[in-house]
Amino acid sequence: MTMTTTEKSTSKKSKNESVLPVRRGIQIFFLLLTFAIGLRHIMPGGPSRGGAIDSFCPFGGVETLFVYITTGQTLQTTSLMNFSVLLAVMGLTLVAGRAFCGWMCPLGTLQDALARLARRLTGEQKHVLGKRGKHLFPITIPVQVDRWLNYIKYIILIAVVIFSMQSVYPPLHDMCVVRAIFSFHLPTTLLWVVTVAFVLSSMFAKRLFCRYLCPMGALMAVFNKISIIRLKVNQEKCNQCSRCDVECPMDIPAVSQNIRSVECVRCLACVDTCADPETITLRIG
Amino acid sequence: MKIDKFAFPVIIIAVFIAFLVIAMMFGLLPMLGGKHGGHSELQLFESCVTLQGQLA
Repeated sequence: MTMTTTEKSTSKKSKNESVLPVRRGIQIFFLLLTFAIGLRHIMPGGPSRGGAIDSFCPFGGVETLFVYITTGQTLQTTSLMNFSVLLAVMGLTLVAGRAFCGWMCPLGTLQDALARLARRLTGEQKHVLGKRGKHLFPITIPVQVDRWLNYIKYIILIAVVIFSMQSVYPPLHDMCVVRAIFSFHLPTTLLWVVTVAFVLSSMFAKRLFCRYLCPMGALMAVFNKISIIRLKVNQEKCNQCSRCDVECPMDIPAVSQNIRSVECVRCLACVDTCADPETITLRIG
Repeated sequence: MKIDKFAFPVIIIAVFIAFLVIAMMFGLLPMLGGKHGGHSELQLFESCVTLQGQLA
């Protein structure tokens, strides 16, 4: 059957259109919003200027939850605002998995940008979608090592919840990456170390913080498999070309075989990269 | 049911805002009213300075 000119043009358009610019736009918006919240707090203006960046972190809600339930007070530097952001993030997770990590989290955006910068600085001239470049960094962490390192974030999550029961400040307050980067205020050496470590680790391997250290990511990962909107692979159409593996920001090994991985941040890089738009699709249920 | 990849960002933003609105209905957005639950370290510092001044 021959295709009409309009059908050909539509088919070509649907193959080439990328959702990546939309994702970048949303990521930049949330990154700037987070910087604005941090700046707003350090600017003069009295108590009406609102809470510190700590008050807007969804994980602050997890840290202060136990104390709030038992005493009716929140931990220092946290507030009810943390619960509202936590509710929004967890609601989104139930609907669309870890989409918050892939589309909204300012730390994720910074890590993506730093990984791209590392690629440029270490040998990649021009990035071709789906093609592994000859860059030195970011490296791909071996699958066996990756599997074990993934558990660290769950251990951190459990430890934080336990320590938060007997704490005045949130347990991660002194080493919080969000606070280090977005508060414009680095009073301790530890926060400087955290900032430098975050930058270097993000250039060393893609989203290293997200994959191995982020306790909020660990909490969301638990709900990732039961989300309403999921990615599905048509295995009959997939030719195992591994182009999606190259583009995955979470470095999920063999993406087409592990499309329901708890690490998937629903960034849709695999959907964009796949040559056949019907192979990897977003579906409800 | 298949979802268009361009509809996905619209869905996630809408869901995120919807849950924030629900949080607002439960009174979980104190910052918008200028009230504070916890205190930032800067506010604690300011309180200490004020108290120090009053004591002096």
